[in-house]
Amino acid sequence: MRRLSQETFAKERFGKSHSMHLHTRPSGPTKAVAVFIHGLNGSGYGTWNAWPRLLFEGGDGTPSMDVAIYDYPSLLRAVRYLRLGADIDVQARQLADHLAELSNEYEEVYLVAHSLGGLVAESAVSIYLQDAQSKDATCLPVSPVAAIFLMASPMGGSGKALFFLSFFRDVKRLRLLSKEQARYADFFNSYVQVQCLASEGKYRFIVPRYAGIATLDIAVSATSASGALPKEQKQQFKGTHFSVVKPKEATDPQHVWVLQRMRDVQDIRAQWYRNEKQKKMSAVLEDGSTPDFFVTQLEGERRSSEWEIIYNAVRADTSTSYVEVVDYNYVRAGTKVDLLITLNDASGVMDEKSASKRVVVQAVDSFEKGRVASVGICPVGERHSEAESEVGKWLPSALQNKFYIEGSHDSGGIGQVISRWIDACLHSHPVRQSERSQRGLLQLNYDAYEEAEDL
Amino acid sequence: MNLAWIVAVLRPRDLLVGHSMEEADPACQLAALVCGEPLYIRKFEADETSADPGVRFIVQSLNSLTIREGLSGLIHEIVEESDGDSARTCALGLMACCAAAEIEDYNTCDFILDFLLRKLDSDEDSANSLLRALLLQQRALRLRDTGRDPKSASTGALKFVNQVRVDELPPCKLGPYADFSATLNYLLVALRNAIWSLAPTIGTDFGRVSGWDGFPSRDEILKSPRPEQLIKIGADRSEAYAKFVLQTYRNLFGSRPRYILGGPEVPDIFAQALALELFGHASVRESRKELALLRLVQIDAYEQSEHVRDALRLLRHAGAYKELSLAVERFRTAGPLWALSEDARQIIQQRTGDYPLGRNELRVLRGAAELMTSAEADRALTAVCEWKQEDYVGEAWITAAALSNYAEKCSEIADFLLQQSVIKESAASGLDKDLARSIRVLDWTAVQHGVADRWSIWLRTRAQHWPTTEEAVAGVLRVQPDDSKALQDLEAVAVRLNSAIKGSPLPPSSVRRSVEIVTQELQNLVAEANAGYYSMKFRSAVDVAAALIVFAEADLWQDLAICLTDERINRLETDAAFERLSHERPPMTQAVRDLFKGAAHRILRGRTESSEIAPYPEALRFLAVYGLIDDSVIFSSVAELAGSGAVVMREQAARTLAVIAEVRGGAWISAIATQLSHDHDVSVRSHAGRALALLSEGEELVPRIIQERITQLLGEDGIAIPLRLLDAMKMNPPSNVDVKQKIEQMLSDHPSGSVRRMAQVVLDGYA
Repeated sequence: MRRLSQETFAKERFGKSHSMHLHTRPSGPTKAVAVFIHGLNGSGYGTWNAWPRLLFEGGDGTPSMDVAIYDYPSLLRAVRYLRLGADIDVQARQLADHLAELSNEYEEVYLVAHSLGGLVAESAVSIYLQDAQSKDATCLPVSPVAAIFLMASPMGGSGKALFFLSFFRDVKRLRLLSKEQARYADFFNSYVQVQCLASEGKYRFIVPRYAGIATLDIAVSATSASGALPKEQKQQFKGTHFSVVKPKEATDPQHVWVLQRMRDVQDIRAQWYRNEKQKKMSAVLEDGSTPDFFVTQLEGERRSSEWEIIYNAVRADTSTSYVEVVDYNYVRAGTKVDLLITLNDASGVMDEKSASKRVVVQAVDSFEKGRVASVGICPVGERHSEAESEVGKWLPSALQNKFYIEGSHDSGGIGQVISRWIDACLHSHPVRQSERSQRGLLQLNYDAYEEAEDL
Repeated sequence: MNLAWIVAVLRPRDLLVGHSMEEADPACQLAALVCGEPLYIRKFEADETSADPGVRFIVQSLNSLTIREGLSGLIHEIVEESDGDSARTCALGLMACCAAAEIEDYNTCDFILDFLLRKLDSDEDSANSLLRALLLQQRALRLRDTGRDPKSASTGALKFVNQVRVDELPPCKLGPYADFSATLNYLLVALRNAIWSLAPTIGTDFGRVSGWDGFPSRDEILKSPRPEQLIKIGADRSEAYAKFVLQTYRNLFGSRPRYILGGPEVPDIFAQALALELFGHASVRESRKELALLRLVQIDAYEQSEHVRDALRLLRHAGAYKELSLAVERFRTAGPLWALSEDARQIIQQRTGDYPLGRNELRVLRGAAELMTSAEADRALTAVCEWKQEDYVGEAWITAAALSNYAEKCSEIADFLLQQSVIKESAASGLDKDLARSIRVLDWTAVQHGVADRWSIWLRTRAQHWPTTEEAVAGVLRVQPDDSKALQDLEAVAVRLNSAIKGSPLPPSSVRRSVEIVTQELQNLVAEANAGYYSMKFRSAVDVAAALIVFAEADLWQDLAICLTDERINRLETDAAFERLSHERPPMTQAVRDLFKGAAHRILRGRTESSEIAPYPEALRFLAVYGLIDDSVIFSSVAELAGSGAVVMREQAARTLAVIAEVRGGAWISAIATQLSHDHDVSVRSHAGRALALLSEGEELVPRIIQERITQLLGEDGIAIPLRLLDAMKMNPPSNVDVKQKIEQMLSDHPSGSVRRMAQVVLDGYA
């Protein structure tokens, strides 16, 4: 993937070594990115004309978003590389890898695909989701891949697909009931909620799918382009198979439609998270002992988004199917914190800055009042070793060996330190090591009445 | 053809009892799954490694988390292996249909049944006829489930089942205690009974139903013996209920639960409901309802289980509207909200396309409207507006109004309702009430002026046939009433007063006339009480009098006090007046105060019906906020209510504390409110929470405990508690930082749109 940092959208020629161009801004990535995937014999930029630019620029109340262009040689373009059309499975694998990379940077990845590109996109998303699940069987149903827009894509195959060129691999893929494509379709049918709903229902993932249909399309029938989607998720546009993906202005219907549907998708994702939080919170509230939750709290001498991202990532990583590591803000107020994580600048500690001292004093206070079970203090910076000893001196003598005090040279190492603390806490906690089914085996409330009762 | 597969799904115990079969026999594995008994499931364990892929997929389809996966696998298996044993594919097909119906994927049901019926040999031998009858009967049930006519499928099934001769069926190996002929005979009797069960039962007509060829008369069906198979299913169900009663008894009488391993077994009748689903018997609707109710009454045992969500679906599919309505309201007020919203999303996903919504779906959509995104609400709204049935059209209107508030389509629905009122020129009274309710549910602040103007024209020209709607529209549009006509009766006074409450002040002449009418009504009421009888009226004259004092400063205290202190007057007349006066607290003269003080004990403890609560809670609140009784009396009365085992009394205690907290604090008020805020019942908790929210600022004794409790309550599931607490905080936003942070968190994170809106109102109060 080639990164192009630009203030205004500018096309760049695709070289041999990159199949994706990511247009981003010098100020950093936006929340969402739109990935464009062209169709049979199309080209990275040529297929779309002004559409990527319109999304990149935003305006009129629409936030701008980063744009990625995917390019692959197909049909006659592939002949130049002495290939009989594009190998869709190879392209899908490659695009899936790009999606994985983009997922690390963006909260939402939208795929906009034309014609054969729709098949590539769906195959890539299938691979991406299967990879995600095999890496972590408990991964969330809402992944960074937010939605797929299929413009004039033959979701039910194309009977008219250039019959006379069917010796090309990519053309063959377009035929009705292509077995290779059916594999991916099966995955979607069994595992992916494609309707725009804030619930996975009985599926495993949520990836809404939308279909744009060209009224004058002679290559792909309206039925094939619609797929089995509810009417709210398909839209007809005036134009041909090719013109339908070339809006010129921000007011053109396909551009407006895509933006509206992206807002719908953002709404359902937000609602999904709300439902999930409520569900978890109720679970915590229902059972005061909450043996399957480990509650952490982050305190820093200053608020740092970098520290918070690391902290959240570690929480996600250390959560298991038995124990979920949740932040203090998402459990009922007053719940005892299992581990209070305190982050300081090492230099601040050495200079005895009041902010550094304050967070440590507060941590001591919380520990002494029984509001937290364990405390970890992590000075961050080059002088972290010296800062560790200095912080130790700030603690009352009775607490000298009660707190974890481990520093890190830079922000990159914070994650490992926090992760070790959480692991250590979890392993020292007998209830949390046990499985749910072992809960409540023994009743050990001996009292005079109970003994009498047993007689 | 191995008919053991059919026996496995329809009479599983005939394969299993005796333990002589191979543990790896796939038909036995299937039978164990269908039978649902842990003993057999363990013995004939069919899991991911089971040799028969069909059985593997059935294992998945019986698990709510993998049901889609299992169903896809079953479809593949049925299509790919269609040339194999047709009894096996038919058994898999029946199981697949039940799974598809569970997720309301009726297209898949139709596809599977069409495919299997096409694939069956055209020979009309007994075995084929049996399979055809089973598949057609399954189709008949699914047609009925989706509101379509099952007649042709049912008559077809009956024709085929009558062609089956047991002695012509290919024998198969069963368990040691089962006889092939007897098993198949029992099975056929049960199937025939299932086919008959789908015929319509019209009124008291015991004759044959026209058009249902070959069906016996209702009289004959009723007189025929109950099939042995249904008796067995009934016995299994009774066993599950017996377990449930035993557990309930132990919980009630035992000092503490004793579990042997991993918690108690939760009695369930899924297997019995599945048995009826597989036969396609009409009584499956009753069985679905029973299954749902059994699961709901054990809701605490299921925690976050999918069973809770599925209970709503089962009640919908059972056509149990009243029970569904109760469950929806319970889920909405006390949670789990996720279960309600998930069921609503399943409806949107599956019932807004080919298969139309029914009344039960409307109920869920209405209850879950505030849990939807605008796109979801819009999609549901589109389907509701396409409501075709004349029955329950009013419910469709109310649902549309509720959804429009979250679909950002208030103007469109206001217009739609207007058109509906024009189409239905003369309204039945039920429809009038429904339209009025829709009008009140709709958010008129979001309705465009043009649409509101059209409603104003309607009010002047067409409203005469819609009296209740007329009042509702006048209220929401704040139409200035015509005061040139003299008020005629109590009803007219009440309607005019409602306009005054909404901001159109009563002119002095109308006040005078109203006082005349109301005074007369109050005197009539006392006269009735003297004569020892009571006739309930549509409006309470006592409440109208109280409202006239509050909103028109009418001189009615003396007459009103006479009614309120007369314990012979029915509480139905006085409840609302006491409640209104407690909340509005208009000033009263010393003479009136003395009157109430003198009668206080009589009001609280006077003659009460056996069903009425003592001390009289509405009167207690009134007397308490006006300082007409001693603190000791208030304390002992509230304590008496709070300590009751009846939820309704504890709720009254909490309500009383919330009303008293509006005017004063006190250590004992905080203490009892804190205790009640931990009550098991959500209504008690929510009113007690409201009291705490009002007390939190002035409380000096244990402010931290109260603030913490408020934060906890704000995080509770359901909307009742957050809404009541936020409402109490509206006028006086709490200064505690934790509480404020919690409200900010609710603004972004709460799944209910109405709670988010209310959180916004509270936060706006800080500015």
